[in-house]
Amino acid sequence: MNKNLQILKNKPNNWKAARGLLREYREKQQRNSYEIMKYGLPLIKKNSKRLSKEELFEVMEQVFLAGLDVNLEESNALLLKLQKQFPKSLRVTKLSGLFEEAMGHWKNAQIIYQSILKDNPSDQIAQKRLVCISKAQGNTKLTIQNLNKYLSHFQGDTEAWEELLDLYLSQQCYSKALFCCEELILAEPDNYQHHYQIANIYYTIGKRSDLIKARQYYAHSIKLLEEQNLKSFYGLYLTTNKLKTLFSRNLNQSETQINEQLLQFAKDKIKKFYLQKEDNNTKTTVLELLEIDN
Amino acid sequence: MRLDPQIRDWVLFPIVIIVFLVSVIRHYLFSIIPSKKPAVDKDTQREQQLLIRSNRICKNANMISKRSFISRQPFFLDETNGELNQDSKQKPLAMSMMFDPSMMTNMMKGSMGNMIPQVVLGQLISYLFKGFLVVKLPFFLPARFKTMLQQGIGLSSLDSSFVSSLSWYFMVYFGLSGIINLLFQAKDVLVHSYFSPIKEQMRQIQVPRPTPAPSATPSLGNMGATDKKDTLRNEKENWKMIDHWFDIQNSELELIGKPITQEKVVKKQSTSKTQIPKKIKSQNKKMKNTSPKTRKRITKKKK
Repeated sequence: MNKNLQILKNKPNNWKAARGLLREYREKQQRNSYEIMKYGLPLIKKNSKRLSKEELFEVMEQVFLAGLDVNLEESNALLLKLQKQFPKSLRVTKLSGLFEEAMGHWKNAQIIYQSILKDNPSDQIAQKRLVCISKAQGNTKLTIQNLNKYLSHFQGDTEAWEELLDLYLSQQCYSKALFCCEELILAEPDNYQHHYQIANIYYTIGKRSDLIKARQYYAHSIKLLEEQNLKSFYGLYLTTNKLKTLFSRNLNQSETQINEQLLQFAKDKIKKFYLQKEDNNTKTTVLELLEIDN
Repeated sequence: MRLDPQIRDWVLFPIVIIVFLVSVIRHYLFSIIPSKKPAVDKDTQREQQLLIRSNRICKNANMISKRSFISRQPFFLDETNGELNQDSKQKPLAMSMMFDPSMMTNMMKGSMGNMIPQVVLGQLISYLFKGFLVVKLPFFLPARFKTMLQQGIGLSSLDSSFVSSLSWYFMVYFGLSGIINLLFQAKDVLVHSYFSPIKEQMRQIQVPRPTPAPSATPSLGNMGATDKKDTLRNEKENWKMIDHWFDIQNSELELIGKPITQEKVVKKQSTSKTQIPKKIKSQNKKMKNTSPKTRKRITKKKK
């Protein structure tokens, strides 16, 4: 566990550990709202003199963002303080927009972001938040439209491609989801999760060529990470099994051989994984099911 | 030969202290004078992102299937509407710098703020500490440097590694800049927030370096208007160099220990832009990856 966190669990008043913890969270951009609120708020209220002025306002912003998840009243108070200190600041306006979103006042938030865009038309955050508002309202079709518009402008934004992928999957537009997933792979080719995701999509589409591609992507995901990637082994097992049972007459000899070998490989690995574990219901069930296909 | 302690006390150390103090004062002065960030133009932003994406695709093209790769080509390379065939809408830097007032203040601050104190101080120091040697450089320098480094001393036979106070000033100046960066960086470390202006700039400045066009005009930092127009077209070079092979095919073979084969398609004439006529395309589709039975069936049908 985090060193600072450990200190704070024993001595919750240790302001040094609190400051160190918040610095870490800021650096790694982690969203542990509960902890930030719990240890950051006393830091601001009681120990504000221990922090330099610049850091004090950074911490206030951090606790404000945490409060949007956990405690809206405190966020409101912090927002008023920040607005008093920086009256015409673009950054604080964005924070006030976030606050309106968290309260659920969609129209107010939209007005704020659109006014930001009037003065700074190239502002990325305001454009992104407008898309988020339509998503928060539950309007999937409109969100997809807005997100596509955003992406036609900001083509390199990986986060946005991920979001679009989720939206398309929720609407079952698999070919479009494939495109988004490919963008993710192109952006982060070493990330095993994207290969796993695209393999899932290919498997769901389910035609013969797609199943073969799914199998290849599962294999690649395994190649990137073997340790905690049991889901890819399951994926590999399922695709090879499906190919064997449903498409056996469409595969020539060398391909059936490869398929068979991959099936055996996946089975062995899954067995090996479960044999390491203690005896429980899942273990016995999985081992039985693996035996059945024999 | 030893250095007179008086020179050491009254020349070497004071020069170091002077340079340090001037840098500190300059740093605080700059942070007081507000500087407006140059607002990134919407079109420039779009093109930057376009280039990032195009670069990504070219770099990792082997991770996606051939079909997907070909489907992305028209968006970039189409003759009339392709993005990389459009004129770049970025305003050439030279022109915009002349007329944009906020950019002027930035430029002034940047170059003048560094140059003027340096020149002024240099003159001052060479005037104050004129006419004697200060330092012996530990390495040997050819005689050409004598005029530069031994200003005010007329001995032509003297070893070139004995230098005057002006050169000591330059050494101190460049040396201390590193230390001063460290001192003032401690505050920048605190700024990691998603909304901070530094992070926003980092998000903007992810543009990959432009690939050198084969017709290499010596680019003086892209000052000419014509260079800017072709930034997108120069990107096409990357696309032409790609020889697509679906690399993921090898992973499954690796897992079961089979030898990996990589077919290198010998391209006789041109790139993957060649249009395969429709009839042959469908034939290929049917014939690929089929069992011998279905192949017989297809060829029978043709007869």
